[in-house]
Amino acid sequence: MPKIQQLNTWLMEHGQDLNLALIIFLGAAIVSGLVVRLAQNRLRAAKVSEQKVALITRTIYVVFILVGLLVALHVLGLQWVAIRRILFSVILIGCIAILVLRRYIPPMPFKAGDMVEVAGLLGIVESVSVVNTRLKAFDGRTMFIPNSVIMKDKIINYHFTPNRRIDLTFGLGYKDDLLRAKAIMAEMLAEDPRILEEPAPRVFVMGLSENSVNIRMWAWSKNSDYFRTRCDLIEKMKLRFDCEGITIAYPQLDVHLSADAAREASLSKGEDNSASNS
Amino acid sequence: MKLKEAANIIKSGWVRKRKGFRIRFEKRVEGGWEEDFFPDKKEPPIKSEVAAWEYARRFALSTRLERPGEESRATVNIFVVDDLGCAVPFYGTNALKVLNPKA
Repeated sequence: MPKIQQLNTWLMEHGQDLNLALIIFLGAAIVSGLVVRLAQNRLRAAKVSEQKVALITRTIYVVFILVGLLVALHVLGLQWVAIRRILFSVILIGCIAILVLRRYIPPMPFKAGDMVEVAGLLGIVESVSVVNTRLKAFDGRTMFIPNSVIMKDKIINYHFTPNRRIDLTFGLGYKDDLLRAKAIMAEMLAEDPRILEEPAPRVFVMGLSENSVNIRMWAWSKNSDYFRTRCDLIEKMKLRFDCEGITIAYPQLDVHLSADAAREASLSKGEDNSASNS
Repeated sequence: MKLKEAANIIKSGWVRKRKGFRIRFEKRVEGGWEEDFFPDKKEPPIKSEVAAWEYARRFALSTRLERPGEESRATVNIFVVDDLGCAVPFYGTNALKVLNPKA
């Protein structure tokens, strides 16, 4: 029998089942999309971390698709016993593949919820797909960066370690009380509840520049406290220095004039004028 | 004495690390004024001293005695305290500061 006739016969016998199976699978895909969106909104409203949201929604999606596929296969004629065995085999193969191959597949150096800087862009990772990574900038922009671009560029993950060091340098006037300034900075760092005790904060004189004595401070805080703590320290130190009469130096030039030099300059100017007149 | 021992003594004694800040104020009740705090003592304190003083400033502005028609929610003697309840000098002047003062 020609192949087209075989196909015709098969479709006459099983065409309805095929259509029903496809409808079931399509329905499962649509329902899974809706449920995933609903779950994402509810989880984000409950302030669940982005990483957990991604994990939960991905699991929901896979479960719905799998259930849809298995029901579709049953409609096509596969027995439940066979379906169970296929499912079990797929799970086992998946586990084996993950365990054996995971060390050879480099993971992305960040996950959903991390703050990263990549390709010159800074933001929070919202999701990582096979093709691109979605980043949300702090001004509200959403950026889609191809994974191929990310893997070729250097990536700074600010959440890879839980703590971060605050570096601040203050340039003080040469005539200011250096030891008092250092003591103030050290006390302020020791008092602040967000500054970690280990590693201990440090204050040291970094250098003597043209305009100022540069004092640098290092202090560690949690990632989540970093920005606010840094800003607070700058504000508090500036105001405290003002109270104590310690000046923050700015670039300036001291010009010293001597009487002899001024007289000579005036004389030579007079000679130039008489030469030009004659 | 070993250096490590001395370092531990210094660490625990030279400056007390505060654990957070609260805004202390007095609110009107029958017969007088009653002390209260926010955040409440059962809640975690504010970690930023700058934020605490800003809260205190805005709270003082929104509950000052002179606001007409809102005398019932007026609050007085507002200042920032640390986790032990000690008044914290205002960081801008390094001196104690009381907002909406009332004798």
